[in-house]
Amino acid sequence: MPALLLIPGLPLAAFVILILIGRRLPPPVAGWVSVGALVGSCALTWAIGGDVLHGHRPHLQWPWLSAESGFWTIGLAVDGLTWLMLAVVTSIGTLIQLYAIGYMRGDPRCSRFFAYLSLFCASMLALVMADHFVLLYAGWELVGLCSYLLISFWFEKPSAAAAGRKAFITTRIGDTGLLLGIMLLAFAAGELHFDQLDAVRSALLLQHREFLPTVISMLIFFGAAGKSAQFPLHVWLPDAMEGPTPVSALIHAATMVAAGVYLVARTFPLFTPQSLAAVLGVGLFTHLAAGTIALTQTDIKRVLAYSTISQLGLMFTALGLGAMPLAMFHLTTHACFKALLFLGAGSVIHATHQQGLAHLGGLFRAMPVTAATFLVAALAMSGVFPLSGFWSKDAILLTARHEQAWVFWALLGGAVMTAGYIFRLYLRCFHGPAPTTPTAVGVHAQESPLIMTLPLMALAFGAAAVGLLGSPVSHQFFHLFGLHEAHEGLDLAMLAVSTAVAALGAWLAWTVGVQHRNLVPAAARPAGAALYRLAAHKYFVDEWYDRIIIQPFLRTAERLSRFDLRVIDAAVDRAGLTGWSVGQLKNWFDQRVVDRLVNGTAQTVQRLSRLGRRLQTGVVHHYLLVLTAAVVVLSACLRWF
Amino acid sequence: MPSSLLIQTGLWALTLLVLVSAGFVVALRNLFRAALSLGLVLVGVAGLFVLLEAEFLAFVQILIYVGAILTLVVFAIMLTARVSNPRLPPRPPSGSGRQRMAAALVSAALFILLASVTRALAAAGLQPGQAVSLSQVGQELITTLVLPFELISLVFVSAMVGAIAVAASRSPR
Amino acid sequence: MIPVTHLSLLSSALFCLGVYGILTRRNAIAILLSIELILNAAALNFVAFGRAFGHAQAQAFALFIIALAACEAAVGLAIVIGLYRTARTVWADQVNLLKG
Repeated sequence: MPALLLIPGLPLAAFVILILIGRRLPPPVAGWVSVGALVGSCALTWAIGGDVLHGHRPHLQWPWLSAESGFWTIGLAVDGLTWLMLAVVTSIGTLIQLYAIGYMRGDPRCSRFFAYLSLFCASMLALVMADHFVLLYAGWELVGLCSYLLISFWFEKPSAAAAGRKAFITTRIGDTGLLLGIMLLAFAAGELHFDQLDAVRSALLLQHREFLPTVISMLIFFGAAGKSAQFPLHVWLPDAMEGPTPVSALIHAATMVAAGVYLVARTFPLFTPQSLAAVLGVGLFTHLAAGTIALTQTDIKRVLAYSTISQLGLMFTALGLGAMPLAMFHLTTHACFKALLFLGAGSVIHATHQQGLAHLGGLFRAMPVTAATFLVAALAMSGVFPLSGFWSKDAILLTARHEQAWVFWALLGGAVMTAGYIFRLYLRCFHGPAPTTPTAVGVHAQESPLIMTLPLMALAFGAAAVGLLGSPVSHQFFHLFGLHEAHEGLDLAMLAVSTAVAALGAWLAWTVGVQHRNLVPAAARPAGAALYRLAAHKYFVDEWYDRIIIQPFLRTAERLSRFDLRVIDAAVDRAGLTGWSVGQLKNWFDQRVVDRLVNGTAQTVQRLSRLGRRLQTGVVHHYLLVLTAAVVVLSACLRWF
Repeated sequence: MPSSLLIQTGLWALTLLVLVSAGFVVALRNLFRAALSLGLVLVGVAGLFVLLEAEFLAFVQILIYVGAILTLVVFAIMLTARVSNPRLPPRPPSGSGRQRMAAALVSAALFILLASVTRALAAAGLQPGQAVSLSQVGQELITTLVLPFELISLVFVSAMVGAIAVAASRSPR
Repeated sequence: MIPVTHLSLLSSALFCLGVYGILTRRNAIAILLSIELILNAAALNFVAFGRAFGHAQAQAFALFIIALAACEAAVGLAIVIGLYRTARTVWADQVNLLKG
């Protein structure tokens, strides 16, 4: 089935074209090459969608390495989970690249930008289609590389270069865990194909009890946490917002950061109850902590970055509860509304060249399309019935209520925060009083061009409607995972609770976030202020890393350097001094004895080379003659000796 | 089947023809005559191909070598043969007797080497095998050898492009 | 029947004559002619041994050799003409740009 090969192949071809001759193409053409390739992949994905939904599993395999135990194969496979990721990546990727054509207009390195985007899409598609850990790891590293290249795309800004470096190194730490996990799995089970994971799990459980699977799955989860920016490896994602906004939307909100969730879902059979508990703990903690941080940030893109971390935490929570399809459902809806939020933020930044909340406000009149679509995304994210976020988040809440009640209450708190921070952002950007500072240009902002608003509208439709596929109305979504039993039906109590929670969050956002009313009782104010400071400084995680890892590292380096100066350099100096005195002595010896020897040698060499020079006639014939003679002599040696 | 004597006679006649005209190719001063001798060598080798029951190859040899390549060579000789052109430097003095001796020595050594290999082959007692039909050759070309075949086409095209690029006049018109 | 050793010796002789020609001729076109001799020796050897072993591939390779000879002649002659234009000489031993 060559269609499978074409899905990652088309963006790869676009990358090759753009990297080779992109500079000669006029800038819009470069963008259209990239978009066209992705549209092709998207069409192919949707074309095989029907088959996949009916349980067909396209699979392409090639022999790869021949070992004693036969061929290792490597290949591309599509099952429900993969198809879902393919649909998300290609569909949302197409819309975002379309938007990027408008956003990047006038950038001198436009074609390079689209080349990287195409490479990213190709590697992301290869990552999700891999039927084997090694191919997945290759895609995993490639998307990391693309992320690095795109974050530091405007590398003239030192902050962008630093952010790219930080993202690369931090995710690299996680990748090391993943690599170790893969190696351990290969060593213990000798099998890295995903379709054999169930067998591998039972074999490992038989041989090693639960210990080895737990270790392997924890290592894999460590890799996933690095890529999906989970605590404690989340520090790179907010800084990654230095990249162009379409990149933030595509890579750092909708697709690449979701790769961690996909990885855990893909290797779900390996996860034991112990490791699932760890996934749950990390996910829930990240969900809540990132939510509180998002409430205090004052930069649009940073709010959205922490919101992404928080929502990814929610997905990991769902995975930890054992509800893998629900996590993937939330991944899908989140990809829609978060991409929309980022593109809306990009539209605002494009129009006003401001991204601090203090310099924004009252933009609804000037940018109605952006504002309306942003509102749809905000409502979807807060979980308002019947938008997509409602269905995915409520399904997770319901599962939590059945499984572990305390998780349910924690998630409810998280939902209030979600509604709070997103409405704080929306209201301050589009409604609150227009800022009066001289730097404010928001009043004169213009709506973005059609090529940017069109993707916004398409994504708004998606953010509103995708959830219906997993609702009681239509159960199509879960057919992908082979779940065919009927949905439990609409839980009216949950509907009420969810709406109330979203409304509470929005109200808090209006009173506290926009009108700056202080609701905390006077007695608790100092504690509240301290908490606020804690959250506003992102729990000082960067500072802690600085103090625990970076500073000791630098201090050690400094101490070593001092040792170098005091001890080694001193020794060297003394040796040097001694050498100098000896040198004085030798100088005399040199001039009298050695120089004569040297000059004599030189003269001999000169005489000899005059002889040699005669051989170097520069006439090809003489060289050829020598060459032929040498060949004859050597062949004769081979023949007779 | 033609009689064995006829084949033997033909073989020796062709051998003689090839060797003598090859000697002319390397020895004749007049380039034009050397090229014509090369034509004789090529015709002789084509005759040997016929004796080896490779008639198609003989045909191709005549058609392409004698018909095309040799014509090209003759053209080149005529294009560059304006030795009398006063702007050209005179022919260098042929003081390369030593080079000629050395070359003869090396070539003779090479021949002795190759002949000794042939002797070893004769000692192994090779029997003449089956004649090969043209359709078999064609089969090989499109199955086992299809990749070299395509590569040769590629080499051919690039050689043509390169030749045109090198020979094309770059002088300002 | 034709003894393969006879043809092998003949092609060896042809080959060595070609080598001699390359080493002694100074006109670039004459060198090309000698190269043609060498290529023909190789083709003859291929066909002779192919006949002896009953291999069809040998003739295919002889065909390849003819094709390569055509390429070589075209490129070589182009170079000769280029050389003639730039260095005003067809004497290969006068092209001593390599001389130090």
